Amino acid sequence: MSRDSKLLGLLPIAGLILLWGWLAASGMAPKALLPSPVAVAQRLVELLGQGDFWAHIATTLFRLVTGFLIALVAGTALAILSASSEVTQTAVNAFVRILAPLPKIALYPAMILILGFGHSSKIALVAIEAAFPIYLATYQGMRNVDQKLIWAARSAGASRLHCLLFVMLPAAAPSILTGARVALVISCIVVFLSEMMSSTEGLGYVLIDAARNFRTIDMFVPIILISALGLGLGAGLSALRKRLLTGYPQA
Amino acid sequence: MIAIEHLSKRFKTAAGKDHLALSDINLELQSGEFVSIIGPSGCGKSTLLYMIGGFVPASDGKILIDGRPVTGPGPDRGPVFQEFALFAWKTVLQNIAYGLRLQGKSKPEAEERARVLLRMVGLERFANFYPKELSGGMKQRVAIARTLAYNPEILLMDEPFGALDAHTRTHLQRDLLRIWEEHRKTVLFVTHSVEEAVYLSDRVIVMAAGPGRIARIIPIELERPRQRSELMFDRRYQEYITEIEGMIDAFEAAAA
Repeated sequence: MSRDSKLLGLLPIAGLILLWGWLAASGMAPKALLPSPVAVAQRLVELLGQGDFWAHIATTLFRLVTGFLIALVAGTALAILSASSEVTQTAVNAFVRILAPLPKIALYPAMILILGFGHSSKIALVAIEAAFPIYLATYQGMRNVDQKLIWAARSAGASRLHCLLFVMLPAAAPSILTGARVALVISCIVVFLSEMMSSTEGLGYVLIDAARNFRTIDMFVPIILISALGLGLGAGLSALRKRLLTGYPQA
Repeated sequence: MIAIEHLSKRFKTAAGKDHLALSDINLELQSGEFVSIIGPSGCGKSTLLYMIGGFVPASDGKILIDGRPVTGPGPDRGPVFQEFALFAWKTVLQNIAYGLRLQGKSKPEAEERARVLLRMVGLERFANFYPKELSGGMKQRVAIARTLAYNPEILLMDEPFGALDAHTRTHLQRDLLRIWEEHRKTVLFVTHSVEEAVYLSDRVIVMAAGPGRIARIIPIELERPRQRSELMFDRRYQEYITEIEGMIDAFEAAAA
């Protein structure tokens, strides 16, 4: 991406903040309910000076990244299993068809009962939500691998397992990373939701705590931060994608 | 030696009907022979090649390689595809070294042999390039080197030069003949070009469609090594081409 197009990418963000500022200044909503972006920015800087606020950010980031990584490993492993034979494909697909449309948030109360109010229940919810897009993208990617690539490898002496792990999986890498991109966005949403529903720490908790105490400015700070977190992690994933897909035609 | 006996292939079509793609194929190939298969689209020439490769199972009959029946792919038969089928995430050198690494050779050993093959196909300067950075002709040279690397006795070439421009195609034909003269592998070469088949082969197999079958086998009795520029003025070369083209036209007309 050129510098110009990077600058162009900042324009919509600037537009959004301007719109927000205009809405706040217009008086359509009472100031107490819709604070101006300047007031929120000032409060953000103030909060970033406090150590325990950083602890909330760290907690959310930890749950988000751990859940996402578990989803990445589990989703990919499931796709490999599914691509390995007709029997496993039928079995895994049946499992996915039942679980994928289920709102996983409905399982959250059960997870809290089993895993407690701490990190584990949130990480589990993030992982289970994010695993499906990764599974589906990886599975599709592996199914669409050029048959002749597999034949070329098998003729050179590759076993079925070797082919699965070292030909089909790398050939599906662009799909896997696209799935990871979707999963990352879902992870951001789910970790925030889980913290809003039941938590004593994390950015989602900061928001719900502020809302309960009618501190509207404090409600907007975690929203800004979770989107910044998503933006940062997304940029990291893009950089990783560029590195990993050096030789690929579409990269 | 390849021996094919009463080989046939049936497919189920999307509508659920039985389709006979290949019917009662009988064929013998001697070691070191260069044989081309030519015929109209849908005559099953590629399917026949894939069955010899062990990629597609036979419905009836059998294929024997030195007396042993084909049950799956193996390093004694090396395929080269029109689509190159290179590993995008590996460099040119890693692509060529792939089969050698699978045979258990150490990395330096495999790469040394890969470099020899890279020189053979004239791409030593491109060892660290990725396939996407190469032209079509160069990609196919890499694919040929990757297959030659694990030293198969039989080369199965599926319209290998079909996607290349005329100039590149001529160069690769010449280089393939040079390599073949040197190593004398058995080559089974599927093509759409009659000229290419006559120029390269010891025998040309003409297939017909509906169902796919061998219609005629024509021995090409032109001296080797062959020079394309000389063949252009050779009456016999022209006659072979005219004869085979006439045959294919007749089979197509009969099928229509």
